[in-house]
Amino acid sequence: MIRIDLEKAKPGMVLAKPVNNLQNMLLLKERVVLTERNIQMLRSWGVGEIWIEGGRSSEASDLAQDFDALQAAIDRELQEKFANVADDPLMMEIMRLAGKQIKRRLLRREAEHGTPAS
Amino acid sequence: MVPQHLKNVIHHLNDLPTLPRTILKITELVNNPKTSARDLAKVITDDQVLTARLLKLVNSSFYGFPQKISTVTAAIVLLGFDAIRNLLLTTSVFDLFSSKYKANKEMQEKFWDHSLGCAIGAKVIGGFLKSEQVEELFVAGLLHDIGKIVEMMILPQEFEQAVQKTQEVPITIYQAEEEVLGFTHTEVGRLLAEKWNLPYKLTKIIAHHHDPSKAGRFAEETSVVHLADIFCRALGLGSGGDERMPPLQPDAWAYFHFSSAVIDHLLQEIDRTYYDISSVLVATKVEDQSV
Repeated sequence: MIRIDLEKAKPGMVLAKPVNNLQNMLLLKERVVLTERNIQMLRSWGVGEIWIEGGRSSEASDLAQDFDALQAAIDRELQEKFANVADDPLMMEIMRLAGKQIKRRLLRREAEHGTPAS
Repeated sequence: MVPQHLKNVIHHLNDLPTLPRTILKITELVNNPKTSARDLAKVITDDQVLTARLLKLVNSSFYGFPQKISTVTAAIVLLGFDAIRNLLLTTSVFDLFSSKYKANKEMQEKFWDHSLGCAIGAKVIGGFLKSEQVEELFVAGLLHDIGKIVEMMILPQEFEQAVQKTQEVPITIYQAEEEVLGFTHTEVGRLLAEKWNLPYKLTKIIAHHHDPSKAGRFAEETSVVHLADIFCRALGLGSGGDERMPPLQPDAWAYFHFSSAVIDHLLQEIDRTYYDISSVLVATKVEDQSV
């Protein structure tokens, strides 16, 4: 289990410890699955941090988020690069397929080295 | 009228490095039908660096031979004369410039990455088309932008201006060169190719890789390099000086008409091979420097 900022809590995460408010009143029991609604509730009670289960999976979800951002960056860069040939449908197809391959490359590297290289 | 800058380039071509004597000798031997594998091996083994490099490359995953090749003669027999010549030409050209000119080092390295990407691209496309000249296409890809290296050495400021122009407006380096210099890297490349006495076909490919229809009877080979250039730019392998795409010429595409599935396959193959071989080349370079 790991401790995370409530800001980073996401629906589907499972509480590893009960959450109390400042007056030590129980808000949620352990093993409760977080929903958008109860995260909102914790926020309104001013809870700062919570313990959730499976530290690694939350790291993985952070990584997945980084990866989404990386993919978006690749697409942006390609669009910029192809701006002068944007009216050629064939070039647009080459752009799409190149983007697909660059993402494959990143995934492969991540599998090999554990870090997505640029 | 010949632009002043181009006169300047012609004047300076004599100061540029020439190919190593061993490479010229090897080219000569390869062109002679009476040459035996042993003759060729003798010239190569006289040069320790070339020998080490050749063995390292033939044993790399790029060739994927199941067993270790430990002699130059075995390498020649397995790969053939042309492949050996091209392999050695590749590595020689690769460090010919980079060792002598320290300025713009980072940009030069990116150029070579781009050249290597294009070389691999041309070889992969040629292989897919079942061309018998894949090694030749590899060299053509490797040298297609050699004119840019010359410009960078002889007219560094003007070339830098052209590069900057491509960052400000969406034009390619080719267009920017025309505006700033009044000529392009394809003309300069042709001049150098002629000075180096490179084969006529290679000279034509270098001169027309942005407009293959002008390459006469070599239009198809030139189209392969034209497409390889586009593919490796799309994949971001190195940099041709601008982060733009040269337009795909319809005349060139007419030779291929690849489906999306084929383009996808070729891009995968090029990308993977590039990352395999560039790590070998870098390792070879580092070892040479430490000797």
